[in-house]
Amino acid sequence: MSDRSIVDAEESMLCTHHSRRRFLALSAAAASAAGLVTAAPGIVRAVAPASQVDPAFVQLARFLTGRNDLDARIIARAYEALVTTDPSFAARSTTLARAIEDARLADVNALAISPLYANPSDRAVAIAIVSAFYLGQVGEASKARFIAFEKALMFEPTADMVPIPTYSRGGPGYWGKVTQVPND
Amino acid sequence: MTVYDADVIVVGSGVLGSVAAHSLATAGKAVIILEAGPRVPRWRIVESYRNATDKLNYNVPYPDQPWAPKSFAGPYADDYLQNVGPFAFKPGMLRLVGGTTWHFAAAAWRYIPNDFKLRTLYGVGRDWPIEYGDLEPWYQRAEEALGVSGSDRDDQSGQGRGPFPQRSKPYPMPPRPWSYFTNRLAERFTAAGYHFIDEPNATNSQPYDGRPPCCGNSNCMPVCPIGAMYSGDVHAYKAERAGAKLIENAVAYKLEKGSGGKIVAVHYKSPDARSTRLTAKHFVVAAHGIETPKLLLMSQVANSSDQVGRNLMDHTGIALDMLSKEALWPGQGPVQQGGVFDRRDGPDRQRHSAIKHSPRTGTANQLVTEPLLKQGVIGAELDRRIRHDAARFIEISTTFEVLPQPQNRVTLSGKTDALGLPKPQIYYDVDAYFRAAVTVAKEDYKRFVTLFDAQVINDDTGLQNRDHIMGSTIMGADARDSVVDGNCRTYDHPNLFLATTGVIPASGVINPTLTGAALSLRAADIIAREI
Repeated sequence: MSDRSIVDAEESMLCTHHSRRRFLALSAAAASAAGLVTAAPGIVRAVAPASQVDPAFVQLARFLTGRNDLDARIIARAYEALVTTDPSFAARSTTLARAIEDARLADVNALAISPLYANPSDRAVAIAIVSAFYLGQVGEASKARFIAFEKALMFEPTADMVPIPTYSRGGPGYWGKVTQVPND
Repeated sequence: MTVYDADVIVVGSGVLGSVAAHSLATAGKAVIILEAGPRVPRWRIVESYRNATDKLNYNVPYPDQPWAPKSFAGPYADDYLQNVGPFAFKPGMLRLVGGTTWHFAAAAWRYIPNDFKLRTLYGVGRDWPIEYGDLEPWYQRAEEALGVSGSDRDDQSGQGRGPFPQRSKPYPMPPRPWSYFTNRLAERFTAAGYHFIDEPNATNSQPYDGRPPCCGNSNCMPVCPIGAMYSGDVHAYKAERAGAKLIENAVAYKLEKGSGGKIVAVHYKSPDARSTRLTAKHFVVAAHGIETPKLLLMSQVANSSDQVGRNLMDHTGIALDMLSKEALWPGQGPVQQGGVFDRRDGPDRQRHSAIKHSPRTGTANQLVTEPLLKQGVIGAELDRRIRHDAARFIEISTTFEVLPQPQNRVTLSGKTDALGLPKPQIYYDVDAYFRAAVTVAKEDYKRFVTLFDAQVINDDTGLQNRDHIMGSTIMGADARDSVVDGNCRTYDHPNLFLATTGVIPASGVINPTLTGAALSLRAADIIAREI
């Protein structure tokens, strides 16, 4: 099964700066985007119905990953895995979302250096959400729940240089022609 | 006149059984292959991998059946191997058509002449009953069968003295191109006085045998998605096309003895526990280094020496993970391309194991992202660090020569599987000869860290499995202390041959599959002439 996106979230605004109002407006847009998940029955099994994906979670996921173009199916799958794995997740993520609003944090980079991120519960919830989207799974090793592979965010920072395992990005012997590499 | 079900029955459809079966079928013999596991097409394994969690566990995407458990990573597998010793001997072992080479990385080294004379030259371990020259033509045949890409110029003894060991013909394919990572590592190691050499590998550097060249999908383990890397299913299906009958989900559990010390039949169970008896003139057991002694012990055959299951060896190893100062970008090209071979041979083998250091160069994103998330790194800094660290991740995988010790052994557990057959019980530990080499390797690690101006992530991994099972049906010149002779024929039964790396009596440091394939082709040639 490929992770090819079936939903292109309608808004294209960058996530570099959020006012409180924009944070809330994005939540509404996210809710409608998540709603499209159910329009493609049979593609993904065991995904929570859109009505069960808390719009605030969609917004929180976008905020924490710094990405507005998260695949709606992956959001739904991550949410389902997180709430299933941790019964207190829904309440804790709501608390975190409110705290981010109240602190008027511009983006995830502001969160990373804020006192809020030192709070153990808020920090753990934030890392759990970020991990779900970056690693493409919730939980560890054999007990983990699968979320995504090709679209796991951990592959994005190196997409210009190395393939996602099993996928090809060059063709036969391409690597033998690489004589210079970026050193950033 | 006796009527047989087949001329030859081969138990096991991994690379060693399948090259033998293919060779015999091509020679016009009637061949049946019994495989304990199912047939699974490559695409299904690739999809299984992509949709799995625990992706660094190479057994994960493969089938686990109640009648054919793999060695770990599954509900039946996890309680299959019964370890009773101080080290958990849990090699990757798969049960499906094609066997465990589905998830090897296809290193295809030859042993060097001194590896065959360990006792004579260094006073430790055992000698082989055959020499390099006996095996050389068969190495060539095996390289041509599997499709090996390699350098004809390297001194594979690691001393930088010119092409070695002697070859009768060039490698079937030129070496795979080196990546930027491999070139930079080779430069650094060479500048420091080490000998870094190309790894001959059963992965196509050009189209070969109907399979494509490597496209650098960075996933040799646990499955090459495009079949550019050789795996045993290639010859299982080639054997089938050559006329062999391949029966999957057939678990051999008894070799039946007849008159004159001959084996007359093999009995196998189907998943519903129904039993079938098949007769043949010759039998080849090619069921992996753990399952082969298990079948012999269950059948009470080939064990007049009491060596079946004993002398169990792996290239038990350690590893060094570090972040180099400069960006090297592992993940481009194949996951293994060469190694530091200076300690492969020499007088030090009198005192400690030979040593091989092999850098691994897979896409490192998961390996670097997990610890960053554990540290709580998020936001733009997370993306920056993933890129930075993934470009600099170096894993040095080190393997050691292991000596045959009779107490390291596979026996039959009192526990049984779904078919009521005993599970393998394993006792394994390493000795002082081995531990002395670990000390030497760790001194090398200190130099490597300096060489790459690196930050150590882990230089104390503990001992690791390397999936190279040897010794468990040991080969030797004397029937009193060996299971098979130099032709892989069991001393006790003239028509029973073993096609397994379990026959290897001196482990050296190199991946044993190519040697196993050479021995199997050689045994098949002998069998073909006897039928």
